[in-house]
Amino acid sequence: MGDWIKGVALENPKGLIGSTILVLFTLMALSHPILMAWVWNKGIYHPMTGFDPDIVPHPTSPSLRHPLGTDSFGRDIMSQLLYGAGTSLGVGITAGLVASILALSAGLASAYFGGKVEALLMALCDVLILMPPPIILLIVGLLVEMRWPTLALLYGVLAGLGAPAAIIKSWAQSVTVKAFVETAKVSGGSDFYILRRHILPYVLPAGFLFMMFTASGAVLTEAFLSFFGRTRIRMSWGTMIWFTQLTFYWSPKGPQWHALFPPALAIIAFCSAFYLLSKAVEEFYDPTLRRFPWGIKPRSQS
Amino acid sequence: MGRYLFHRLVRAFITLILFQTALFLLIHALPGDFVSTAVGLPPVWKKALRAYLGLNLPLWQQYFRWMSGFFTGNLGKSFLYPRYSVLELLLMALPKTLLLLVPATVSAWIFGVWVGKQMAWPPKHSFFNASVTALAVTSYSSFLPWVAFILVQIFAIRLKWFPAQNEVSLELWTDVPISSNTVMLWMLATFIAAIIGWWVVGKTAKKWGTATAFAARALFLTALVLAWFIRGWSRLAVDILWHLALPFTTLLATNFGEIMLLMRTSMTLLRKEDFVLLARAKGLDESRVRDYHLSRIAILPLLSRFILQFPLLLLGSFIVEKIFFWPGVGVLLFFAIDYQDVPLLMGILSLVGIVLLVSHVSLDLALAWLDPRLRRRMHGRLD
Repeated sequence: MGDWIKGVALENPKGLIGSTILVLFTLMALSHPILMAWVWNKGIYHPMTGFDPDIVPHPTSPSLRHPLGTDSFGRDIMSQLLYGAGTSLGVGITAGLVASILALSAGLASAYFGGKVEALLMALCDVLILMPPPIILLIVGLLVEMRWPTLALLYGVLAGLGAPAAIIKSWAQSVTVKAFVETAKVSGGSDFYILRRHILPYVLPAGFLFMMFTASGAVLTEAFLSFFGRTRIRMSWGTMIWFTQLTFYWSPKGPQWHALFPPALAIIAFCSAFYLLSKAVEEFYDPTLRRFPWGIKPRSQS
Repeated sequence: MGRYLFHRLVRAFITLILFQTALFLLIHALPGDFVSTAVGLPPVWKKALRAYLGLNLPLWQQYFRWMSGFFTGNLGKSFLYPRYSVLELLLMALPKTLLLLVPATVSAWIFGVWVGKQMAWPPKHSFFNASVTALAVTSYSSFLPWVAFILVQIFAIRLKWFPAQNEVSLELWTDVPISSNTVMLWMLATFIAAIIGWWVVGKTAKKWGTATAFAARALFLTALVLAWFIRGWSRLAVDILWHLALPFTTLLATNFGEIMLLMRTSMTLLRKEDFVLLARAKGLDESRVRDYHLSRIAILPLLSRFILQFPLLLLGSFIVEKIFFWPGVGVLLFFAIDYQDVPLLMGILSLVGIVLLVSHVSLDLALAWLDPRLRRRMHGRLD
């Protein structure tokens, strides 16, 4: 695990940028409750209900008091951005983990056991491939209260059991027929042991890749659903963009460009981080892809 | 191959039935129905309307009604637009979606593949390379409604160059005998003809030199444009193009990045292969190695990737339609969800599902045709 973190997140420049961005967003998300508890006045800086009565009129440009300015309702944009970082991190990580775990277990089980297990899982996977998760979530939004954990879980299940499971299955199939699997079976290895010890390492890179793709997909989907008002999430980056474009001209000082850019740039940075990390994972497992533009060389090339 | 084809088609048919069942259950699990979205209707009317629309039947009867209708090509009548059947509504909306989706996708591919191969070959490390990568990653991960909003603010509101709504200017179309869908389909055909013709004409004329090829291509495109003027529809086509500009740009800007990055990675993977070394040893130009030896093979992995990414493309075009009120399938989808118009919703989702199913089946068949090993690998039996 230590090697893996070093190879993916520290020695690879792409991975380094990606993990730095993610760490920054984690710090942002963690700092919000701390700031709210000890530094910021709850009445003024609350992301949903705050209002600064000392300033009129209200959409204000960045100032010392409000580092990113305020929106048309007098709410602090910095506070909203930090709060939204928590939502996005939660959605991305939950969806990514759920999707990769489900895709790995379904893919491995259907490749290894074959027969009825495979027929059942692949039928499910075939059906889910035909249902793009964002469109299905638009409809499911009418059925359940769409808060972020629900959204992340549903996205993870729908995205993970679709195409990723099928791809991991076909990777795993090429391993299950190798001689060392037979050898392990004959020597008395249990199914679980063989799956974990002999087959999982081959498909784990694909699992990590799908985790990254699902994470950024889930964050974009959350933003898109919030933008069209199909969730019960009260504050996220998508909600911020929706609110800003709705009230873009409700301001005596002209359009509110200062409120439009922070959430959108945050989404771009967040998804880019996952993309760069996925590149780093790919390069870690496939050294022929590696390029070291800044003269950074890995210590061991085994 | 015949055996494989048969198995794959049977599997596709079973998938289709399961998919329809899952959709039906999902949509009928929603709280409320179409009638309950009509606020302020007297209860007696509501009851009568439910009986008229068949919403009071037991679930299994509705299910068989839908399934038998689906497999006989009768998708029922829309609740929201009772004059039209769902099929008619879809056929009315489809040309608009296609006119948005196909040119944007094809342009994103041409642009992405072209830039991607320039960046990967000859191998280089440069500031330019890094900044194009940064641009592509930004394009890949940017939030579509935001891009659309900024484009509208700049080009529609500030500069007033392009409209931000609708697909035609109505005043121009009042005394025109043909529908906008016809013009759109012809425009789509022209676009496809232009792409294919560009390639075929250029290839044929290349024998007589690059200048001839260029002249032939220019002549071909001019002829296509002239055909529109002779037909007398150029005014209408220009009007549609004018409305198409912003949605098209939005879709292109958010889609080209990923293709470019994939193409570059794919080229990078092949750089060390022997056939590249051989081509260079023969003394070929770097550009010839790139265009004739590397990029042709590098495109293949992108095709299967394209099938996997297709739902996202479709969703992107639906969102763009919703934002620019481009009255295609996406706008219908949002209406159908808001009013719980069950037949229309089922119809649209079935259309999406069928398109995805056909693309996956044809990908599998193409791969099996190219690689005989795959034909024998069915249901886990490897030999």
